Amino acid sequence: MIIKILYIICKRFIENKTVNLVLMLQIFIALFTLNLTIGSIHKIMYISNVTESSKLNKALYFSVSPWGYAALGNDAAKLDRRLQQIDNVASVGKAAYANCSLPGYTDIRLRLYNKDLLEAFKLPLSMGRWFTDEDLKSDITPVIVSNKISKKYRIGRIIELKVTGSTNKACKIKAKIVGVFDNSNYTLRLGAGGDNLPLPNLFETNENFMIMPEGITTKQSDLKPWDDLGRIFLLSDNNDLDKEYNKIREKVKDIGYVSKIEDMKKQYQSSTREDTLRQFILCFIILVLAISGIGGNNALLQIFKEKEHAIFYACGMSWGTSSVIMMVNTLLNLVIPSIVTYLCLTLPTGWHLLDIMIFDFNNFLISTGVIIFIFIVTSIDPLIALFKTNPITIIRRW
Amino acid sequence: MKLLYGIISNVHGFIQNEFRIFIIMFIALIATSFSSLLLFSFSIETRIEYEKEFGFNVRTYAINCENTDSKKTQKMLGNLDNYFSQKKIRISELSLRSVASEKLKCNIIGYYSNKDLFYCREGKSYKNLDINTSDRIIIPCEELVDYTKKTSYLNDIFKIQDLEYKIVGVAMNCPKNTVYIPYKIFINDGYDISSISIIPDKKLSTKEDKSFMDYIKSYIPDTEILGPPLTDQKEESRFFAKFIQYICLLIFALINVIQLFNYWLYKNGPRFIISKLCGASNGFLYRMIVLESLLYSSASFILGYLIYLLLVPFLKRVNAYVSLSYFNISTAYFIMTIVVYILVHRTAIKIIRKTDLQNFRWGELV
Repeated sequence: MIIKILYIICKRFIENKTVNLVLMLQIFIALFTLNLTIGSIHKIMYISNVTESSKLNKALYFSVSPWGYAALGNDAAKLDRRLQQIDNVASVGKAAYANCSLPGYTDIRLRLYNKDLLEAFKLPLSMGRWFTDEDLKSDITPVIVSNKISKKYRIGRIIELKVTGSTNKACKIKAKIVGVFDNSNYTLRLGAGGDNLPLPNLFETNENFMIMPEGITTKQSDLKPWDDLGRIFLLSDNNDLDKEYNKIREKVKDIGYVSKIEDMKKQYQSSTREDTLRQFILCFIILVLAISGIGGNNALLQIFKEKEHAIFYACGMSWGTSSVIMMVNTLLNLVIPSIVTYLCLTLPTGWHLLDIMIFDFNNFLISTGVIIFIFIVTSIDPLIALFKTNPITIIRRW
Repeated sequence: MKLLYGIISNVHGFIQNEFRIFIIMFIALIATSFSSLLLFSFSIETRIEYEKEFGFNVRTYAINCENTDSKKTQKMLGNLDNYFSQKKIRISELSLRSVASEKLKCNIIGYYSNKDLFYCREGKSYKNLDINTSDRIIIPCEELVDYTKKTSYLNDIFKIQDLEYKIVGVAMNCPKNTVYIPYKIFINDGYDISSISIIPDKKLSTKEDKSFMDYIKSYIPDTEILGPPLTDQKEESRFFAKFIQYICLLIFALINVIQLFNYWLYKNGPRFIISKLCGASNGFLYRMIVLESLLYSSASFILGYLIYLLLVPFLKRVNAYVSLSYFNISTAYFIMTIVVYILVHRTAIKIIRKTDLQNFRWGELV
């Protein structure tokens, strides 16, 4: 019986292929664009929220100018010595980077944060935890990996990384995975230079990345990572940010620029306000089109099917079984484009979708939920009409 | 009259018998038209933004010719057409510049372009004029003429040294103290070339870029060439993603229109068959079906446009408004009408060709 029903479902689905394909195309476009829109809004909100929820909001960003660095003999140690002379700076956040590989992942960006930066800034994790004091004392370097890497290398696993730094000499580092980042694929980098920088310049998108505490790694091996020449100045709590900002800016004006991260965030928010609003308008348009299009098409499809189901009924099939066939057919129209959309949004990394949106499975579920809701609402009316109508009347009409 | 009566009675019958369906269909059509217009305006704005950031900027080659041999420069320019046609690349804009001096008094630009690059306060830019003309025509910038003395300078004579040029337009928002003359005239009149700007109609690949630089260097080795700046691929892909989004949604809107009219045909098919049974001629029936569908699409488009106009203050407030030209609006209307026409034409022909009306089945029409 079940095989017979499945056969009928497949046969009906193939026979109505044009209408089904159009409906599936509509659902695909609606889901794809809705996810792209929600993902873009998510991305804009994410960067602001990350700085808001960390100590960075009350920190200053220093970037060295090319001539300032040249005056310091292009020496990062000299730069640090010069920056140590600034008063009222509680700590200075530093970052460095290297390239590394693991079996299955050849181009991983390894970011090394110093203790002060790790205390000031924490990206959201989907699993595990940030580094603890025990981790920092441990013999094995703790590491937090990106969501993509975590699919192959799980939490708690000890991995051997092949790392290449500025000396171009590969060295091996043993590391233990203690956490996994969420799927936003953002990392903080301190390599951007210039005055009044936009906030996204402090972030980098990459699917394959890891974060390690700086001290242990360099002690364990002869790794020489590339230094990011930007610094985060964290002020002590009792200092007034505006006053200190003006003082520090004056003190370092010969070697670089200082910006308040709060100002960078505000500037970013105002520059993306228009884009966010437009994305909201687009969301509205997609909903309008989905209701009028998917709804209309679905209602039309139900009407087309009523004849077939009346014939099934006349041939001895129960009205209930007939409804199940109708429902499964409708579900197929929904499930196939949902899977295609999911694959389109997650698989092709070459699309640069990462740069414009953050793909979040929850957003995907919400948008699918909206489409299902439209589907149900628009199916109810023709279905009720179908149940009320005598099958013989339907056959006579056709 | 008969046709009009037929259409009105058909619309009336549809509203009377299927009021709920009529309202849903009409609202859906209006919503689709309104959304399409909004998407149209968004895509136009994105195109303008893209052109600003990645258009001419990323294709311009600037060549400094101040200390170069003018004969070699002339030779390079003479073979430029040949070089580009061999590479199958078209030149979008080419301008030769002669800087103002005691002798010249103004900057002279020998200009070729296949696009309108500046607006004229009066007259026309060279795009619309014959670029190979032997007439001495000129477009000065508006600072070089005095509109407080005269209201129009068209067809007046503009003198540069001893040469006389006829003013065919006055440029707005262009570099100060500059006049534009056709590229060929500039060469014929023998002005010194201080710089050359070349804009191909597409961004050159790394290989093409290198080959082009080599070509220039082979003629004028001592020159400085400023190539296009490196573009931010991420930023460029953001624009493409937006375009994809808008195009997908416009396709979605078109599918909606097709489906809604399919539904309308399904509901109204029997009415047309009855008209045929009552003796309506094939031509009359065809015109009635097509005109009725166009009436619905036009009415919904006009209402959609009115809603769009009502929302203009809101869109302006959120900086999401781009004024649509009549050309854009008529293009949107034309696309919608053509799609509806093709769909309805198919069904209308089916009804006309139907001979055994006693065996007519409802579902055959769609």
